[in-house]
Amino acid sequence: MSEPKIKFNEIMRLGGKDMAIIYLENGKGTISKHNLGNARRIDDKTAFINSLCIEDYPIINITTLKGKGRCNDKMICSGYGREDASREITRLIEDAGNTGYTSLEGAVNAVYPILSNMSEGLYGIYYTKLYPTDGAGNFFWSLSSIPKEMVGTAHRDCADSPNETLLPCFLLPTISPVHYDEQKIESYREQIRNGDNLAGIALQIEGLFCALLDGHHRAAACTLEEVDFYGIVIERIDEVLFEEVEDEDSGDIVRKATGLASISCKLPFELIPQTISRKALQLRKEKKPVNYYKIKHQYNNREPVRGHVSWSDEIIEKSELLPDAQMILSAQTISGITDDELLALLESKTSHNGRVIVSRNLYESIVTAINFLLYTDVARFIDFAISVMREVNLVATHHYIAQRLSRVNDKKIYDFFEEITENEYIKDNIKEIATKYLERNEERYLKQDEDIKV
Amino acid sequence: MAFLNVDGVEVQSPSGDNTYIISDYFTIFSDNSVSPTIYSWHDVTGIYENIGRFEINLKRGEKVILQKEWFNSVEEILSCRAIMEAQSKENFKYRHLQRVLPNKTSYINADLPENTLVYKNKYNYEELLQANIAITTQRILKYIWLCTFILSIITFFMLRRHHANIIDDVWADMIISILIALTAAIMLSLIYYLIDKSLIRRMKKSDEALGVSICFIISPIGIAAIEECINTFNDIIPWSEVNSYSVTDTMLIFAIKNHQKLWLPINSITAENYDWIINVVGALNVPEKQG
Repeated sequence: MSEPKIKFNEIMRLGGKDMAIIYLENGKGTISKHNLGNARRIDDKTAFINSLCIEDYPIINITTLKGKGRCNDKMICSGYGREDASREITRLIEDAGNTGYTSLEGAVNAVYPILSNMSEGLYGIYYTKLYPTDGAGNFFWSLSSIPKEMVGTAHRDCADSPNETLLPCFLLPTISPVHYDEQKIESYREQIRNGDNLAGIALQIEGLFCALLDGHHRAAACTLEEVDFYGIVIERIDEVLFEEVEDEDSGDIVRKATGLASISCKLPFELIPQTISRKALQLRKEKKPVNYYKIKHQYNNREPVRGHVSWSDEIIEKSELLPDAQMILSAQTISGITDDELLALLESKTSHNGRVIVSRNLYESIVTAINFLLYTDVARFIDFAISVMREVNLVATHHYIAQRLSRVNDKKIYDFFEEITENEYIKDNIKEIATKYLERNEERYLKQDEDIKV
Repeated sequence: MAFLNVDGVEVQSPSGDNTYIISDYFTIFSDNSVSPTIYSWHDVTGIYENIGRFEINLKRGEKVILQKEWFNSVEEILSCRAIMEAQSKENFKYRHLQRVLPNKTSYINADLPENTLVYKNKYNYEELLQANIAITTQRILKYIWLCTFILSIITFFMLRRHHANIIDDVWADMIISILIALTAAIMLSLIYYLIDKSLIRRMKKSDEALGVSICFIISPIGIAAIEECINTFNDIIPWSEVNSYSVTDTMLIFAIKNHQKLWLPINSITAENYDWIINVVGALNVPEKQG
């Protein structure tokens, strides 16, 4: 078999970030996401499955229920771990993770051994901030092997703005949790305190989710030290981008293919040579691997690595504070929101100055605005969220917003929650959130009050 | 959808002006422009495969012709055909001339179980002709006998009525009428034979699959006969699509959706395997079609 070869390698500015665009020819396909056909029945429903496989072993299984289509979030299960894969491939991943780099070119060189083990195709490689959670506030490594519906896995086409790009940032483990080593984490924490930057290598596999190939302990250490965790993301560019453009001859608006795309980038045909576009368009997206039956056998028979892991309260709490998928989706799908637009939303209006603020649905608009502000501007978020909580007309959003407020530690929120616990018209489930928040922050803010008095 | 594993094909017109890619999309690169025109298979209204070319009709009334001589190899023609035909199942009509293998639209994507019999063979022109004649004979034999009988009676009465004065002997009339009827039956059979022969000969010209090795797959979930170069053991015709089967000296012939045939050469398989196939077919209650 021919050796893997890079046919095209150029750094471009795409989607607001530098990205190395690479065409890999004759890739080995030992680290790749594959279509595994029909899955085991889930809840008596038929489903089909895609799986991130390392050699013959499915590591992360992504299940789509038939009939639901690609616009719905998918079910993901991990926890199988890559421990059964050959020592050679494990070492190759670890070595790539330990290679230092100072530029994107250096990063591409570092991940080349991993890349050459992927399937032939066009890839984008970039450096970005990653959140070591499952997109719902849970520490990424604590995911179980039971399929779980994950927000942020629906297909990009199904978003309100189908041609918007989204930046993948949530992580899924490729090492089973039994390998969680607190000593290792402690040494990484020490390195962070000494000013070292720790990073990982991730492979985008579905929507906002990446499989973390290397850097599990580093990600945990960054979460505990409350510092940003960065990583090199490898992303396959395998979709055709269709856009509404004006026809040169008739002047009509027509739907035309303008380039290739992935979740985080739109790559116009003009930026790549025709030979590369031709190669990319010739590949079949749903092609099954040569070792399909071996992988399927493992999928049907392999049990996840079991073992008790008790996660520290500290890591659980700190993971909860990281942005979740709804925040990221909101932040990435709207470009901004003005104070006037927020006031209009408070008055139950969905448009302002003849323009739809977020969407025609009021509650969806408020939730999106809340998540957007929570991600981009916490001070405005607190003011707007408290204002929404005071609006009786918007009561349907109150429980959700109370949960959102409880994620942020702030005196204003503390005072507001104190106020509503005494209000008899507030629902019990909201009071419960408020009470928990007050209990958690009592010490901090009571001390603050005393200090002010002094 | 079946045949998802078949590699996409790139074809270039001899002048080099246009490059066509048949894959998940149908792509045309014209005059070396960087941006191609990409059609999803929903944009195709129909494909007609003739001897030597594919005619692809598009929604806006455009027609693209791909000459088979532009392809680099027979394998590429077969891949192109498999991709387009599999896509036609959901999107458009695919018309073609007589072929030796069943339509690719009959296939589904499935995992083959472990107890699957797989063997390779090339179709033999003579065997195919012989089997086709045998099956035609099986089908028309009773009608030929009936026609012969009726014709002999009619001839007999006509001879008695019109030539009563020439031939007085009843026995002689009877023998003549039987001879005429038999001659007619032999001629009719000969015509059928010639039609069959020309059909198979035409198939030889129009179907590239006759010249390549074929993978035959028989499993409890279905049956398949796929060109070896595009076979990946993931596509099968489920037994629910098989209406009946017939046995000749050289072939097992399965009727698919009543109008297609899957020819299974049996000369290269062991008696044990043959029995296994018959057992599977029997267990699945596929009816045997007798003459």
